[in-house]
Amino acid sequence: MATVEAPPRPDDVALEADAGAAADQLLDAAPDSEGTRVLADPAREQPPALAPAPVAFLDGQAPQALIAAFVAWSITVAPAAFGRGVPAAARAVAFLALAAGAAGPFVAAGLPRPVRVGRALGPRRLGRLIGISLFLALATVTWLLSSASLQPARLDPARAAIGAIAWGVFALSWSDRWSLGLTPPPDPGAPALPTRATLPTAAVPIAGAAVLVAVVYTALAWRVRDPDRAALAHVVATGCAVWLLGAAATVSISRGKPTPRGPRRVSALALRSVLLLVAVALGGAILLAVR
Amino acid sequence: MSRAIDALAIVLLTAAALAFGFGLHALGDRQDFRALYLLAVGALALRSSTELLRPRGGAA
Repeated sequence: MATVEAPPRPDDVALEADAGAAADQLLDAAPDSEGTRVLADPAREQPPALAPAPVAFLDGQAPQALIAAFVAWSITVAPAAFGRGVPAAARAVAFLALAAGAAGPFVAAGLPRPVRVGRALGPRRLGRLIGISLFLALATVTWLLSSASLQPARLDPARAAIGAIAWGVFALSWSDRWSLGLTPPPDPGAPALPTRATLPTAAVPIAGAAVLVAVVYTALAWRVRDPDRAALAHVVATGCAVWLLGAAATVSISRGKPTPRGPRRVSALALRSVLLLVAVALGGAILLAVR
Repeated sequence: MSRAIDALAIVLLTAAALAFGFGLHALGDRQDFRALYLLAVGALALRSSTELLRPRGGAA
């Protein structure tokens, strides 16, 4: 594919200190016939270039992540840590969590400049580790230390609902924009993908049945009377429902799909999964019978 | 062979759905061991059903 020298775009300017060298190695990207940007040489593919730090911070996701972290912390972590009868260690860890949540977006945006963490851990990855993993870990420790504030009788349902929404917004604030990535070059060895006009037979009934079963799981969780056990049942029911829906979608559309490497066979991984299932099912049944 | 794999995947998916349902029922009846057993069986069945339909060498 012939490439044409493309004029630099504002979002193609490198973020890190060695941006100049990286930009030199980044091959000229130009819109192809379909309007997508491709790299001419996969061997020299580089990570997507980002805007300079101040611009990336103001125009990127850092402000959103910062505000979302503060809101989630102030609604769900701070009330637990600053309640009555909570040890001082919980407050200290809560402040550390807030610091991590606030520092993560700055580090991810490349601020402060002098921070150099090596090639294996770039600023974006380090920022995510601090802003997401460390923030969540410290928030969890805070909740564990301030369990007296988290008794079900002391929880406000409205604040709990708002807190759940705040954590959802926090998760969305750290999601990557699609515009940051470049379209990978086409794989010359990939087989042609014929379009399918229709779904496989019984695809809709399988997916529909999975939706009904997922609703049944929720109903089963609601029949649990014990409050502590009911919370666990709802968590398990939600997890099972989500997992079942995903697997049902996979099974319903993957059946009968032609494989590029000849007739379909059972892979070694699938065989191991089935054997493990049989072993666990038999072993558990024997244990249940013995008990 | 392909149809047999498809049928086995659907059977495993159904088994997983039933195991999850009975596991949740056992959880409500305070039968923790039975609930754990059924949920584990359901999880393994669900994973097996999707692995069966995955192309060879494409495991993720």
